[in-house]
Amino acid sequence: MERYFIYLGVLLTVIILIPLYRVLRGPTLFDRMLGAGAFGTKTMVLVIVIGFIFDRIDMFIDITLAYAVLNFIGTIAVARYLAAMVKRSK
Amino acid sequence: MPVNFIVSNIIVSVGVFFLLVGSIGLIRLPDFYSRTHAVGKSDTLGIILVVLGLVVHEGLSLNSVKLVMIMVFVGLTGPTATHALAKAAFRFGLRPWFRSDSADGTHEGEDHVDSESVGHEDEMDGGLGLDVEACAGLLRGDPDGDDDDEEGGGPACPLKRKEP
Repeated sequence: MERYFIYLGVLLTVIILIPLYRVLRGPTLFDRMLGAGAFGTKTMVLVIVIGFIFDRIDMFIDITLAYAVLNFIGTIAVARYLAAMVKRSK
Repeated sequence: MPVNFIVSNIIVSVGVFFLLVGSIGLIRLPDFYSRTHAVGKSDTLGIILVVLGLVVHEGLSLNSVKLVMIMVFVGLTGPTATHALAKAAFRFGLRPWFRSDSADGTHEGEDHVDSESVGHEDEMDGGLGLDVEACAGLLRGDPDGDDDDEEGGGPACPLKRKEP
């Protein structure tokens, strides 16, 4: 049972590393931000799976909720900042 | 092997498949607006399915209620954040990709001139995805960008500062 979650965590880590290509290579600023957002949302799942591996799911779920809120606020903040920059320059 | 473990295994596997599809789409799709589809839809569905499988594995407890809260939160916020980013990019002046742009370099015939100019603009762009004609002064290194035809019509450069 635990071995299943360990394999799942390794697979999720490989999947999480793929958007880093877009963060590093992305042709525009928005591509980098999109890759960072995808990285964050997938990391949430990895944190839950780590909670199942360590059998401390009650603690790791709260970490996951805080991480989800921070990831959402970060993406929204960057989007609002760029939109406000355009609006001010017009 | 209990039956809920098998069911959660199947649901988690389908969710991991959708996460993998979202990651590959973020790499393979041609421009920013189509990459937002991979992040906004496929990733959200994958995360919801993986967490649903973990809820089935966990059974009925306070932890599974919190996991359902995470599912609802991700279903609300994932597409919202992607939409906000895409709207900011559209306001910023990032142009969508068309087939005539032929970004992969396999252009032939009369598409040649068009893709030549697009490649030149991308080179001049500096990786920001700006409207190149409006920002020509800035991209050439002029800090004010006031060398030519800025008071006429045409789009304003989003990075150009106006005097207060």
